[in-house]
Amino acid sequence: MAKHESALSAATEHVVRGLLLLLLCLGASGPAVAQQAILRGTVVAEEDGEPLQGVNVTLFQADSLITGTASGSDGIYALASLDPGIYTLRATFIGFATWEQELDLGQGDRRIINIVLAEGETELNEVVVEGDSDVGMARVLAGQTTVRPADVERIPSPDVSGDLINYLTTVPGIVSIGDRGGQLFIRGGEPWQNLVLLDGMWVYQPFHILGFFSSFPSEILQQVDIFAGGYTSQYGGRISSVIDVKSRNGDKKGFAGTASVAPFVSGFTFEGPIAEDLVSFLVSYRKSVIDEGASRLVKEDLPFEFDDFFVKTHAFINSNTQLSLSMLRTNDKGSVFEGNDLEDAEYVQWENRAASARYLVFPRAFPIMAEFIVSGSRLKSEQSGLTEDVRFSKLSSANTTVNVTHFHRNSEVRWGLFARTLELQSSLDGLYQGFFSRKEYATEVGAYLEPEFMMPGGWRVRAGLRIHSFPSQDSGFLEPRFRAVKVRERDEFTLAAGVFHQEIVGLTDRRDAAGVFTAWTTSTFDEGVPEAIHVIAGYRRALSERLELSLETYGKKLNNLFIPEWTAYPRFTTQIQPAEGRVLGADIRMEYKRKRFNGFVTYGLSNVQYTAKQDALELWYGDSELNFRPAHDRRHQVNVVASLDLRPFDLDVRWQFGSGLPYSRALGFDGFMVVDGELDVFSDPGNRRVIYEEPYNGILPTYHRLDITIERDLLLPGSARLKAVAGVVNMYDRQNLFYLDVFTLRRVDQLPFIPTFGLKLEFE
Amino acid sequence: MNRKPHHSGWILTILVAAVMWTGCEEAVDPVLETDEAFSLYGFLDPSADIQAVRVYTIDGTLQDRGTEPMDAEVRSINRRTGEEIVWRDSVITYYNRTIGHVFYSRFQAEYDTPYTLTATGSDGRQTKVEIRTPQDGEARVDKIVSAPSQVLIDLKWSNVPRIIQARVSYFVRVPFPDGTDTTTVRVDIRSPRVQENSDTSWRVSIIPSADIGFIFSALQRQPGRDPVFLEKIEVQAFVTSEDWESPVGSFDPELLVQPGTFSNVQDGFGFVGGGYFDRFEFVVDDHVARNAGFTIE
Repeated sequence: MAKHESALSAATEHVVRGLLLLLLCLGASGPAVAQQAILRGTVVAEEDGEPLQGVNVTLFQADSLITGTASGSDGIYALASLDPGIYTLRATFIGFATWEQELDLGQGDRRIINIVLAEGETELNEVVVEGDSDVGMARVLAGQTTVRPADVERIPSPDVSGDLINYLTTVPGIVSIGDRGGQLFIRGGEPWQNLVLLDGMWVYQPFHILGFFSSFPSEILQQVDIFAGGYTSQYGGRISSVIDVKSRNGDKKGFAGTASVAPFVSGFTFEGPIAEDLVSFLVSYRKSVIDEGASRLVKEDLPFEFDDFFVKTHAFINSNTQLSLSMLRTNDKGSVFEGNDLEDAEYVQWENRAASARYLVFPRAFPIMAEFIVSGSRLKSEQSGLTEDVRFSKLSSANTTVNVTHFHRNSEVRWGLFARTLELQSSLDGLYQGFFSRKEYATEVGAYLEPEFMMPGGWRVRAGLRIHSFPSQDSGFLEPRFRAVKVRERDEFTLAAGVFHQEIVGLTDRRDAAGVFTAWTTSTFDEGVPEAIHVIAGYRRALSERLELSLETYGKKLNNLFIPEWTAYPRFTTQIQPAEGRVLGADIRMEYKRKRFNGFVTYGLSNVQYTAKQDALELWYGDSELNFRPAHDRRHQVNVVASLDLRPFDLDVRWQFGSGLPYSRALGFDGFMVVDGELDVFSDPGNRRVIYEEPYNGILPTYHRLDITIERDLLLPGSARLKAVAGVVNMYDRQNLFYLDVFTLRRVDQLPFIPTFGLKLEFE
Repeated sequence: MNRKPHHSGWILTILVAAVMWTGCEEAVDPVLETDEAFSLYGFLDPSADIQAVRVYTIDGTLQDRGTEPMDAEVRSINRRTGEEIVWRDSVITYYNRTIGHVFYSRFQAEYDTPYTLTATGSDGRQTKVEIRTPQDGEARVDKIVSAPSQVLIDLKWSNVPRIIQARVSYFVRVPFPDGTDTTTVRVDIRSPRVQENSDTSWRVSIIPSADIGFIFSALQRQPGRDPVFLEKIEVQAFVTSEDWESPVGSFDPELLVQPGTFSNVQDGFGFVGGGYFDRFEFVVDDHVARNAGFTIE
């Protein structure tokens, strides 16, 4: 395998050279199209200067549509390859007044026109430019779901504000193991296979230990793109999913803020201009108050503590450049496994530190936009029992990324370069493949190229190739990617496919899906680097003006996985064994929207199968491979979310249902002794043993829960508002199982019925 | 006041229905029952005058049963003579503070004899194991290959079904530190090579010239400087019944721990065999001892 990877690394080198040559050619293509004009700019909201994504920017000539586009993230739009002439540039967006400007474009003009949209009534019957970056009602596109803060806010949660994780758990195909641990399994993938980015920063363990909270409160969100698979060439290094979070820039017009108090968390946000219209800042801080709040409400010890702090500053340096600096700090501490007669309670804690600088420019001379990101991230995590030594893992990385987009008339070409250096350190007390203490360094370099173009039949295709190499590991990977969208009047077809590799892997004890502690290491297993092949086909249809349906089917092939070895010893530490997997599934989402009501129903069907390859399998089961359902294979998942405007109250309701997760059921318990000539039954205590039938032969109970919140905004003197929220988590007090100790038959349930309430003061 | 839209009706209906759905706790039964009653471990030793087996009940939880008496009667039957013996339960607290039940009986098992051992609960569930004790073997030195620093000795055990392991003890004489006298010390070394010959006899090979390093190290002596005299060699071969064979060729607990992987117990788990350590002593001549690295007087 090493030889294979070495050969691949050499091949990768050749391809990298070819790709760089091609990129140079692309760079030189600017002057070749210099005769035609180009328009570019940023669309922002007048109220606070925040960039607007998904704005329809169209160019008309004598009332005839010439071309159009939708603004992307950062509100940036570009219209390229324009002939000289007199035009009307028009920008429309729901909730904003239409913006228009007459233009006289000359030969080879390079115009930068920044658009400021004021809130108001949108004219109907506008031309809508649809594409891969389009956001619609359900906004599901070949594995990609685009989420905005308003979507997050309407999911009931124990906080006054929304939190991204509560939205994520409504997405079909995303399995959460419950209300603690903060682990998400996305379309059959495992938590360590998810890439989470915040403003370009890698956030390695972003979900808090209490499953209702993440590092991403809705107040800091501008937009979130969730790629449950088939993601574009820009993303890599993970084989399951990408959650790309873009934060707000902060109000550039005036100061604003919030302060909230609730039984689980309290916190504040504050934002405002440093230089009006040019430079802004945003600060957010939240801290759990569970000891003083929720624990007393349920009269139960809830051993969780966490906090998160985010700060960002953003500047329009001039009309065609932007700079933002972001920093995130999170801390988590608590007990997920509360111990049994054989094992001590498991305490985990982790902290994320991340910072990034992001520079965005669209040079006047070329029809391109370039993004430069320099970021650093660090995760430190620890696991300890009452008497055991502490196991810890530390992962630090420095990342440099350049993303460039070349704009053409009806197409664009994206390419990029990236380099990462990583330091991985772990002390595992012999856990996982006998690792005790380990310190490694790794370097990753790579590039991608992704042209987007129109194909016959109305398909807009984005075909990409990503190449990345770990010179320190002597490994390299070629990853073809593909996405295609075909938009018709009322329906939309999407396809996506791709190959993904993950050199930096997370080791965790995943036998019951409740393991939280993850140790990071390079993939040093003989079987090779974990690899996934994704295929997705989607369909979306507007059944009426108010009702939309989207359907996706997907398949994943997972190679070179590793899973815990099976053992009949009742212990939690483990060796690992090679495995392969495959995932098949379908997601359905139906969304209904009226003026004072909106809601959606999602259903996720998933079938995950792992194939274990432990050496002893033939001895134990008569076959060298064994197929089984892993502990996170939730077959059916339903979410019903409804928001109702009961003026002056807003009611948000969420009901979730998940079929039971697999677990290994025992036939009984006895003891085991090695019977050889040395056995002395009077002095050898033997070992207790679990008599398993086959791994994961049982199914845990189903999970369902109803959460409700009702809120009211009260206007206070001045420009302040008080938002009062009351609600209940687990309204009908369902005893949902979080963890079942098969050894002692003790069950740990998720949160019981909890009344919640909170106040949030908003001022501007 | 604003009129509530009609959607609230069905939302309330859903809420009420959900609240009415009060299957609030779904039972989970993580332990399936099994007909197997006991797990038994041990062996009948014809060279010993006490026989013992460790007995585990197959329980529904992992929790220890403490010192309460085990609901089991353990009985052995000599199938050749028909002699039945009821064994006694003993509750043992081990060094790690776990508690176990060892059933034992004072009798000498016969060589090459079939036995049945049963463990029966008061509910009538019975676990049974058929055992055959091995024959009384005969051992002799079969071959000695001796050259400076290279000594290999083969011993041959005849008339035995199987030897699963062996150990060798070197009885050596070493002077006291002050040189006034000498003392005889026994140094045990495990894992000599055991191999089945084609004529159903078994061969145990020892390599004194390789073991000498361990012997000096164990005695904290230095070769060439400190004298170590070889008095005799004892080889102990563990002779077993024919069925006492690990499916993986070794006794790796990580592999054998899987229930049923290495078991001869009916309606239960575990393994009870017949076996004994057969000891064979011999003396090598000075030439062989010198070649092996020992001191010669």
